[in-house]
Amino acid sequence: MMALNPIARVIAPRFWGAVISMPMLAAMFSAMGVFGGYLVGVVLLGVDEGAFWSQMQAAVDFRDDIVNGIIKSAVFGVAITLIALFEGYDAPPTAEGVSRATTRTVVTSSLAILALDFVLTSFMFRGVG
Amino acid sequence: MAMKRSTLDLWVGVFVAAGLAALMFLAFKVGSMGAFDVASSYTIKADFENVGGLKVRAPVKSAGVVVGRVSDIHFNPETYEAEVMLNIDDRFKFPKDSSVAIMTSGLLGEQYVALEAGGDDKMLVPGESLKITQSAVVLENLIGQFLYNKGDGGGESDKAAK
Repeated sequence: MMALNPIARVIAPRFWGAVISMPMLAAMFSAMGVFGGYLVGVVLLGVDEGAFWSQMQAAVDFRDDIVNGIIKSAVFGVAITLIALFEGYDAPPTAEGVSRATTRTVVTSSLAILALDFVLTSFMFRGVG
Repeated sequence: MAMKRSTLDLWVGVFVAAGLAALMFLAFKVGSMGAFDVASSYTIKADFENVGGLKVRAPVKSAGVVVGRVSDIHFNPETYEAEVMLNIDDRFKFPKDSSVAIMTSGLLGEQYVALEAGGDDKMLVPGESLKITQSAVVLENLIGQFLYNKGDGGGESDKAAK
């Protein structure tokens, strides 16, 4: 092997890249979702634009919905990036090893997201009726 | 790998900018952050027998114009009534004998608090409670009343009345 530290050269940039981009992707997709609702509701079905935004603002709370969503996406980002990095680092350097590592990453990270989502939700909605 | 370093950096910048723009959009347009809360306001209290489906952050309207928001709703165990806190914009002062009612915008719309100005010379001071309140209309009660009246008006009105 070359005298390089693989943790610093390969793992760390990927880890930070994914952890930083996850909340941004989450924000973008939430915005896209709202925009999609706007497109269908206002443009296609003819709901009044002012009514749409006022109902949207009445239903969405900044702290409860948006900030919590960002926190969740950051936690998911840490979890799935660590899983993916571990599987990739651990994979045997063959075609079979890479494909097995990919499959295991997908399965493990979906289960991790399911479990973490449950835990985070129960923490965030504690005390909210 | 084929991309040049500067092109890659540009795309990263575009991505980050899009993410921040999405967050701003969510915060200001969707979450209505700073739409009303930044303006200074004072709180008045109103006791209702029934608040129906009124929610915190519901608008307080006077003459149909939003003048404040519901900041808190809780149950008072001594009077068995709902205590509703109304945050009213500082620019608007209301007479002491103003009345509040819980109304619904549209047939199936959100519920809001309608604040009707009274004729008193003295104005409400922060923390004061409103005396004249009108509860939310509960549809089940309305239907029950309607059916009762309907039965009452029928042929067997004598029996029903007793």
